[in-house]
Amino acid sequence: MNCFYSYLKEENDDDSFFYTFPTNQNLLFTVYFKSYDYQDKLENYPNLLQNGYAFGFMPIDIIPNVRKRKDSLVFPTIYEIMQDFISEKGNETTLLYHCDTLDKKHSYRDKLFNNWEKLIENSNLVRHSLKVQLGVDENNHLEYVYLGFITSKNNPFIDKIREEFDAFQIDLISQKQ
Amino acid sequence: MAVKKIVISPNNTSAMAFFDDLNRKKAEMYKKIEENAVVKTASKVLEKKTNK
Repeated sequence: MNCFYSYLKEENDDDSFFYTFPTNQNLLFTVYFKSYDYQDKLENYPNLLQNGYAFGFMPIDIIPNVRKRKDSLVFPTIYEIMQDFISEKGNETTLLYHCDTLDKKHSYRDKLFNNWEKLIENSNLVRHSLKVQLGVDENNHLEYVYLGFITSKNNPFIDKIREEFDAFQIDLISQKQ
Repeated sequence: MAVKKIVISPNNTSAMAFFDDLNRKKAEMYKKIEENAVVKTASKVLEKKTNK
């Protein structure tokens, strides 16, 4: 993956990082990494949390209402950004993602992630994903969210991280009284 | 074997609260990005370029 968009990187006081890049199709992407977002829930999962960052991205449409074509440079750019972040923070870094339900495009995003997984098969990253059915939306369609993590194949804690993610799934389905 | 899907019952209030909280945090992050000075400047520059 040699070709990608040029990007700009910012660091905030709260240990969050923002990478921004414009595309040829007038989208302005921001990729973010924010620490401690999951701390309250994952306090029992030190390997997931200790070096865990909430990871996500947001495109802003500069010229709305113009149909966008598939852009083959977006993934390589986000991939470069993930590599940049992990190389700075170390192989122990775990990127925790959540495809949200805010804009009803979470299913689309998971498909995007699945396509990307095929592309990163030969890279030094690994992804683990979970589909969660939450109920039905206002149109009586099943509503899903997607949770997962991405980390380096060279993460020394990879087995423990997988174990903790499995334990987290059990925690989710255990009804608290 | 790998877990492919989990289903949360509507009466699992702790799990529902967790997902609500995730959505809230993400909405806060999106707002922060929209208000970011670099994003605002870049949007203006790109808009001008496109309209030329």
